[in-house]
Amino acid sequence: MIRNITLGQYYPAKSRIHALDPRVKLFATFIFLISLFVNDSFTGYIFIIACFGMVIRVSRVPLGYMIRGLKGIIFIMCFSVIINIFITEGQVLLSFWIFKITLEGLIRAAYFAIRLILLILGSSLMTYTTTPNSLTDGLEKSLGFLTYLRVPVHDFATMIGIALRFIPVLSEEADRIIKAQEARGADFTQGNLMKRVKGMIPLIIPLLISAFRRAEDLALALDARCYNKEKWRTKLHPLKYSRADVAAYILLLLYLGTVIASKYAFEYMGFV
Amino acid sequence: MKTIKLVLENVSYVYNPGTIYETVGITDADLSFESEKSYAVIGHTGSGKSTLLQLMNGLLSPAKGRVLLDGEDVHAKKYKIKKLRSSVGLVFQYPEYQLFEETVIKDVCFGPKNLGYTPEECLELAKEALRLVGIEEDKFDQNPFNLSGGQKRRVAIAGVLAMNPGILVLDEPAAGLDPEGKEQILSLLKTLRETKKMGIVMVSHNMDDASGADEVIVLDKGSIALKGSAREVFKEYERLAGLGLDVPFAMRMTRLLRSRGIDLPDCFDNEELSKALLKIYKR
Repeated sequence: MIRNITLGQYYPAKSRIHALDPRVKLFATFIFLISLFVNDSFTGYIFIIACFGMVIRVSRVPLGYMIRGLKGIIFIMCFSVIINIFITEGQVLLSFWIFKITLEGLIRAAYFAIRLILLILGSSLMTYTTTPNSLTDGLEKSLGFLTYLRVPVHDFATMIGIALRFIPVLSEEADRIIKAQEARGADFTQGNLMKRVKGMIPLIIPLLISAFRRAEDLALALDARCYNKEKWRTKLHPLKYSRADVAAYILLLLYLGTVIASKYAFEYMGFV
Repeated sequence: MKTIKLVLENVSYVYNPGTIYETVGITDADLSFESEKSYAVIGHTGSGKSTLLQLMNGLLSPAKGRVLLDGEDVHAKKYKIKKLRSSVGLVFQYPEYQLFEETVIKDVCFGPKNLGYTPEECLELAKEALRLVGIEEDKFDQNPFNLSGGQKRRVAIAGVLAMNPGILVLDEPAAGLDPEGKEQILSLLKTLRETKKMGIVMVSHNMDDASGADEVIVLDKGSIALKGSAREVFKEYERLAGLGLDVPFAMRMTRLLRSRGIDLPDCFDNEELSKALLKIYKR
């Protein structure tokens, strides 16, 4: 049920990836996303998947656990893959009525699917290995320069941190409300779409109310401890780079360099 | 009110089997519950109380063992789970958080409506349930969110009572209420049992509340540590203390007084204790 959302949750384990500075992991995610969009060759994907696979291995997050997190996006993925198959012009393989499937369409759809899956796995690996608190710290520090442009970086970082922190709380709450309503004979799994949407009301309303109540309590608790956004808030655990972090930065730059260089090398050799 | 019998036969349940989050819910529980009787389930946090309650209502299906309602296996393929839901009413902890309708009466109608009663029947059942829990007629058309905490709780309990269960299962029904609200809930449960012949199963952290039950079930780490009449169970003072549990006030007091050299017989509740003390005082 709802509690099975694994996407974006912290996965407690002791690994080198978990121990990295959150800024490195944010940077790594960014680099990974760039590499996905830069690359457009099959060989390139093999290289990217191999590197990513190694990182997952080192992170000690079970692969099955990560893949389960993909369940939620299956619908969007199928949808965009199918669209891609049909709308791409090119060498026609198969055609019926007004639809035609082209070779280019299939290739593009496959690339699209790989890209999307890697994109989601890549960003979720960051949240699996970084606690919401350190993620927020990392974001705040990495984007700190924007403060000079009057962007309220600290506020945004706090908001994101709170949002991430409350995902498990609310999903647990949703689970409890579902059970309570099921005990009253409610059925969330049967009926047509309209009936099911209507059937969600007994879940949505109590959940919203509890979210508001929690927000109010949290605001009060923050206030009671004199939380404010004074410029010079200090940290209990200030972020400090270690040697491993520096090494990770170097590896990341090497990785991005390889992906970009190989792209131009292939183009030059006329591969693509 | 229907007279029913619910049997848990060698039931086990494990959360998240095969992952790092694997935890034991319940191990080899053999229990039987009947209408007209009252049961108290006690145990430390995480001892499996909530799991047990959810198994009784079919919200969880056992990994091992069977749950039988009047001899029928409720997890058999052909069994209609709504039959169990209408026979064994489950009231969760803080049930007021499940209220969602615009009016009190509509909210209480939700359960019977799901069971397929006609709108007129629903209304009748809802009114009856609300009367039972002591909500006055002028509140029926009010927004449930405007009621007091104790009233909200009673409306939520009415929501389950309106389904006419033969056994009512409650997870800490008095938690978080003021003494008056608590008293109202406990006397409601007593009425339900005496006049409606309903079976009551209650999880409680308060040993004085638990001592009123016909049978006390003590859980520890998912297993049944002790089971029997309240008198039998609470005699095991050392055993209970080892499980992080207490005994009712009167028994605790008796022990303390004895250790100070006052000669007292075994006293189970406040009445017995006061009688024994009066006797000594008069002597």
